[in-house]
Amino acid sequence: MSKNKLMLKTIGSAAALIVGLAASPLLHAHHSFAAYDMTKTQILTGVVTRVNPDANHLQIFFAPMNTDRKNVERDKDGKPVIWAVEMAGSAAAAQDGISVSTFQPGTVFSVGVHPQRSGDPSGFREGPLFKCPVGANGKATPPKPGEHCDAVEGRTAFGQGTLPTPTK
Amino acid sequence: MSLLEIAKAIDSTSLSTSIKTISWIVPLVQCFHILMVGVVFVSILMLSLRVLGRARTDEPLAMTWSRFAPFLWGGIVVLIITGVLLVISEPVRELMALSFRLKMLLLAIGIVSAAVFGRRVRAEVAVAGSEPLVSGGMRMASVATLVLWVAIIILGRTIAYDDSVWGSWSPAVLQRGGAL
Amino acid sequence: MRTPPSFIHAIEFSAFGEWMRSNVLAMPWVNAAHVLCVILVFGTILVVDLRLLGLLDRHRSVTRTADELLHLTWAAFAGAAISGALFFSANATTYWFNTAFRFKMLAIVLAGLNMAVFQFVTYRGVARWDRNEPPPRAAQLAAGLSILLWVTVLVLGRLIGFTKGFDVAVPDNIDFDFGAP
Repeated sequence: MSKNKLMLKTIGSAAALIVGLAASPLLHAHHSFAAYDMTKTQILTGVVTRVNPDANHLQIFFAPMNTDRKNVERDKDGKPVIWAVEMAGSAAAAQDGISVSTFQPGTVFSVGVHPQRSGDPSGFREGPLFKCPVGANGKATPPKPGEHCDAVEGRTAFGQGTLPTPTK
Repeated sequence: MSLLEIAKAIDSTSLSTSIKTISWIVPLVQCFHILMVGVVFVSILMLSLRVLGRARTDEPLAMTWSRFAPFLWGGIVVLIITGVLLVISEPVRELMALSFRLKMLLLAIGIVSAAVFGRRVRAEVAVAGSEPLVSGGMRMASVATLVLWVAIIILGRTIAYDDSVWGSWSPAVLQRGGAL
Repeated sequence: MRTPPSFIHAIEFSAFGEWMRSNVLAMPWVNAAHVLCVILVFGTILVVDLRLLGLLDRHRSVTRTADELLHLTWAAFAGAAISGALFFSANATTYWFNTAFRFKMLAIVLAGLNMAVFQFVTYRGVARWDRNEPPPRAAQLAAGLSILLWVTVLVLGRLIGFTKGFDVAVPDNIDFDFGAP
């Protein structure tokens, strides 16, 4: 094999490998920051399933509640649909009081998000978070149908201001 | 037209929207970008180490230059292409970051100084027909060049943390009225 | 699969992990250091691999090309491992379950094995092909594998940032029924 051919082969296989890995469904890139549509805003109320206290970008995973606020949205197999709201790193989020301990699994909260263009269930945080209070039975008190945690008496705010105005 | 307005105008172009809509493009472009950062930085490093007499002293400086110059220039071309694509995908985030602006400034200095260095090496070889003399000034310049490229790489990474690193110096923070 | 091993939990909730998560400036610096070290590992290994493939630097001996860079490669690898461990401590559970992270660790192990086999088998006869001669097939193969494995490591490393968090299953003890009085 000539040197030029070997060089081309080396560069070619490296490039093919990069494309293969980056496009692999196994390592599907769920999002990049460019993936969020900052022109769209929606308000979601849901049940926390996990906080990923990532130092780069903290994520809260949650199951959005249905409109009557009695249960969560489910897929065709009856499993809860899981969303992620992503925000600045854990240190910045902690300044608003958002952490693993304040958003434990089962917590009901509301947040404004800029959703992904692709329709994948995640969004970037906009504005404050509101946590619904916990009732005497130890379970979170959800908002009334169609409402969000900011309208529930005894709710806690994380961050300044009010929930953003949803688009459309 | 302010830089922010320009960024927003880029953001609304159809090319920007296409890049943003296809979720694997940005990760893929970033992969090529980071690999090329490695190629370019090590080319600069080898040239600097040669000037400092720490590596490749068995070959003339002009030979080290011709060995690494294609990697340096080829790598820079790929970096510019992938970098432009990344800016088009997220123009506001990039252009409104102090780290990005400083990086572009240092990058311009880095590219011009590499070109000047290459010209000098080739000119001296053409005149003398032999090894160009490595002066004390050249040694200092090569240390400065290394520091410069390390700074470029650090600034590239801190674009993502502009608020945390620069605080109220960050244009994005200033633009929000100083709120962190 | 739902919960990580206890040592992962211990790392994440160590005082150090807590500090990494809560310090605003820790992550930018650790991140920048990691990138610098990783590209140094990749770049210096690439120079040696291109010589081993017989593509460049044929006028220089293999041993000289390798020896003058090896200490730099190892120092950078140590720096990458330390900064990587700092990353890991801040969010151990997430990395533990992340597919890209797991494959990245596998690729590093494979790159190490490839290097060990080359070092202890092929490289022992280096005196015969140190200069001028094209390197033997085994050396070319090791170099080609090395380039592909380190490219894989860098690419997977970049992909962790895009996929982390999404690989952890939902705990099954959460009650989603708010209808009952």
